[in-house]
Amino acid sequence: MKTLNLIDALLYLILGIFIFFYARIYSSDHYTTSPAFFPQMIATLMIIFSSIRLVLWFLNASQVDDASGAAPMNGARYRSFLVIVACLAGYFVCNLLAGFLISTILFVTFLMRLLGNRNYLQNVLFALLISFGISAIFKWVLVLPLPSGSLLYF
Amino acid sequence: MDLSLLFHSFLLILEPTNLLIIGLSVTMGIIIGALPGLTVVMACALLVPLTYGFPTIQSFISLLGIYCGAVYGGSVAAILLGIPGTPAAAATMLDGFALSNRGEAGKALGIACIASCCAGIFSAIVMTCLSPQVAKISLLFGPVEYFGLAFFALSILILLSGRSLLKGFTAILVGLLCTTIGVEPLTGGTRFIFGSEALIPGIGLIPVAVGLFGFSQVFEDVISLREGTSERKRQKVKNLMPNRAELKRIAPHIAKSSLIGTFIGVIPGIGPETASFIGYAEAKRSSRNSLNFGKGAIEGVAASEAGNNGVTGGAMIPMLTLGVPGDAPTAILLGGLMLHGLTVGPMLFRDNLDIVYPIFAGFIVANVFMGIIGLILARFFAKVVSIRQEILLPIICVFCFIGAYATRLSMFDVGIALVFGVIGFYFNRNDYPISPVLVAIILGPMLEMNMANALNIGDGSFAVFFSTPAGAFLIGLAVLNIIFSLIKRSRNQKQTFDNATG
Repeated sequence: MKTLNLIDALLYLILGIFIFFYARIYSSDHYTTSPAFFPQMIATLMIIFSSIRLVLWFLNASQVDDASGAAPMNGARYRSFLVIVACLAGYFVCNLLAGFLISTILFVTFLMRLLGNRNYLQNVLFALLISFGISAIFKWVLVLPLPSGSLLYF
Repeated sequence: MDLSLLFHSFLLILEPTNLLIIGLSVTMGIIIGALPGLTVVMACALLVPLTYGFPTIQSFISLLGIYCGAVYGGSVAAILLGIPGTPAAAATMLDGFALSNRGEAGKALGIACIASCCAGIFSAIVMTCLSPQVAKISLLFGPVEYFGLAFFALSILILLSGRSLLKGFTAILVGLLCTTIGVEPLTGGTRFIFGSEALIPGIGLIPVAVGLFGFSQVFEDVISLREGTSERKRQKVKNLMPNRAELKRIAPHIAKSSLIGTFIGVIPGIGPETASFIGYAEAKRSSRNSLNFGKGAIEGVAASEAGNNGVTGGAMIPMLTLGVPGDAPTAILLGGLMLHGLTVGPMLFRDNLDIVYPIFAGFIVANVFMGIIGLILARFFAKVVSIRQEILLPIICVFCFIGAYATRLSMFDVGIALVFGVIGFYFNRNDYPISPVLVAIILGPMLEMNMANALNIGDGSFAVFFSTPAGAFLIGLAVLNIIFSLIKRSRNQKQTFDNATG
């Protein structure tokens, strides 16, 4: 946790420095406050707060401060997190390629199985219901297009 | 207040289509609020896109229905499962779950529903009476006052900072930073788009909300489910209505908590969580039955529920009149109004009274519906809260996806929501508060625009911020708030450190 706090504070420090210098390209002499002013002000505050956190880290004063309410991450939790992120990323890509209907059927079926529902028939029926239900609402009630995919078209 | 316009607005809201919309949205709000882990913000964020296709009034009254329903819905899971459906229902759980374990789940749900409905109606009436007056005063505001107001609202967000003040500040800065992406308000040029056309309109509020509150919660729920730490048992629901003696006992606590909730709601940044606990604490202090609090006191359920539902109307006052959201759900509601091209603030009361008064009427009717639907469908909601997570989570994922996509029909926004989902998860795990990010995204443009205008008026001198009494007062109040928060935190940390070291 302590090392993570150091990395965290360093990341915000780097982000602050990057924004401060990058925002200089928006500077202009035509205005009292140029478009660079606000981002640079935020970046300055970010640099100040990150620096205070770094100082506190070196002084060992942030131990009480940084105890998170959530259970600490371990190998299994990281795996679960990565699995669901990968599923959602796959669903995103599948939507771009195959459109909403097919990707949702695949995604819901797969995710229900992954989360422990072993009744395949129930998974598939449920996935079909969700996918066709939402597609119908968007097509006929809201009259808004859902992603159609570049490979197939619904 | 224009009473004839209000009367006509009620007639408009009482049309069958509008009643159907309110009824459905309240039901959906209660269901989402009742599901543990799904918050009020998530309910609003997920359903904004579904209401986008409606005309402005119908769209907004449906959002109000979802808002009211979800705030009450949190109590259903708190009472039946001992898991607060929303953080605001944590105080309700203290006595509600104890009542449920005694076999009086029905009575607890009934009391929660009656208290929520009464407090909601009270706060809606206060909102209807006060908002036009606040709007009239705010018409006198210039850039200095608006800057002061945004600065004050941001300083109040420190209260949401969790345990680390520095992390709270950082969360606010991350939110403000998001507002600098895209078209900037001063010259109309673009900033930080890195050559991407998709970033020109900026980062949308809804994808950010869906990511921070929706996807991040999905990640947490998946972790709990795969660890097997999300068990639920079903409770029987019967005898919903309390008897006359019980109603007499809870009435003064409902009245007091409604007042507390509405007042707390008006102050930006303090959410229903605080209101419900203050209402609960006050009821415990003043009740003859105080020894039973925590063991199934009906006064505790009534007070905490009235407290958190009282916030709804109160939080709408600064949102509608000043464009300053009282909390994260009202930030989404504000986003919903902006999607329909409305500029929220005093101008809304000058140019769009045909929208404002139906909102007042719709809010009162939504609260009445919440009471009726809450009582009639209590048994159904009791079944909903026990839906298995492996069925629920895929649906939530699909709704998060649709929620992020539908506002601008953009897959890029879905990508943004996923990125913010990971950021939200990281924030949750590392004790960063996430609500300030969302509220800062709303307040960022207001802050930047008015700061720049004020500095232009003052020829670049920062003394301009103290040139008007209202501006100086608001900025002074914000500075004092930051100083007192710092002092209070440092005292708390010292005490914690002393306790830890013995």
